[in-house]
Amino acid sequence: MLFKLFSTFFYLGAVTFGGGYAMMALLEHQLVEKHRWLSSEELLEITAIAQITPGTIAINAATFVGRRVAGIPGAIVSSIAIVLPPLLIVGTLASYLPQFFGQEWLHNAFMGMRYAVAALIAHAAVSMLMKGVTSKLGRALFLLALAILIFTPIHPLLMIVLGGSTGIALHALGIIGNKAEA
Amino acid sequence: MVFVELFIAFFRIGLFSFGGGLAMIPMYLTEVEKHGWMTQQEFMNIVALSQMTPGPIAVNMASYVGSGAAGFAGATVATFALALPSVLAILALTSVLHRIQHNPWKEAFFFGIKSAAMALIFYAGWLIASDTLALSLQESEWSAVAGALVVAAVYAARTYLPKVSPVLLIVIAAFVGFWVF
Repeated sequence: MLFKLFSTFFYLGAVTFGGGYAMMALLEHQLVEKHRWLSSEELLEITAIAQITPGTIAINAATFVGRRVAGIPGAIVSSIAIVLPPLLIVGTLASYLPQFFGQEWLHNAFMGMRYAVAALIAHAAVSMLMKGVTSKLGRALFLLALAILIFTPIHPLLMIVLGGSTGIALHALGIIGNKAEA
Repeated sequence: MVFVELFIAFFRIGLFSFGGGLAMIPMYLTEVEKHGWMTQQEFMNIVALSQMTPGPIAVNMASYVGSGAAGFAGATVATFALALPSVLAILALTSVLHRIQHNPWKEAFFFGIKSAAMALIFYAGWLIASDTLALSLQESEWSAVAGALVVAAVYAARTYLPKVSPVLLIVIAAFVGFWVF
């Protein structure tokens, strides 16, 4: 199991470009669809937790999943595995990369990749919304949060805190019960 | 001692930054300039490079800066120092969450943050798409149309051919970008 965790997160570290959210699509594919280590709902919870804990989303997710699947050793193995590919590539090639990445053909290839990543995020997001947020109230809160993000310069961390406070307020008012209808 | 300085600087960045890669840039800049590891201009090039090399942006930036300051060993120290606070924070949090597993207040809290996290993911997709579209429009209208077609094609492929790996789709899109844009 530790080896499987290592190879999965090493792969994720080697093939994701752009970090955190761009990684969501691949995390959804690898962890939820392929290995079934997590449900869509849990992946969503991790995303939220990663926002309110220090550090990068990708490492947070690796630690969380590793811990869930194989305890503390799993957490350590997954976290090391995800930083290893970028460390090896950048650490050994740092002085050559700037010349290489100045080329125009590469710029165009990256434009294509960015469009693909946007589509992958959209697809993962819709699939997570369908499976992870199923109540009318949850979806209404989602739309409200999206509108706030688009029309105000709110910080992502504050958005998560606001969401959590809203959930607690709804519970205090008796609108959502013991089993929060996710 | 450059390794101790790197460790402290990157541990601090890892500890006090929330929300991932791009949100960390101001903190990086402060540390990098304070220690004289590189100029602001050099650092801005690193930010762009970090989005092009594989892996999380923040990890790439740490590897670049560490490597510039003290070679491969410097990159290793910076990367692990950056990752350490994330790992410790998640381990601490998961043990607390495990203890209050069926607490209704916790469930209510998660009910709220799931909707907020969902909105953040949609918003991130929207930001990447609109950013890239604006860049395309500076170059040519054709490139913007081609970009929209790539988005539609990748979305359709994920919907109707779920077995195809997202990584393969990104590679294909890179070739399309190379030939078409």
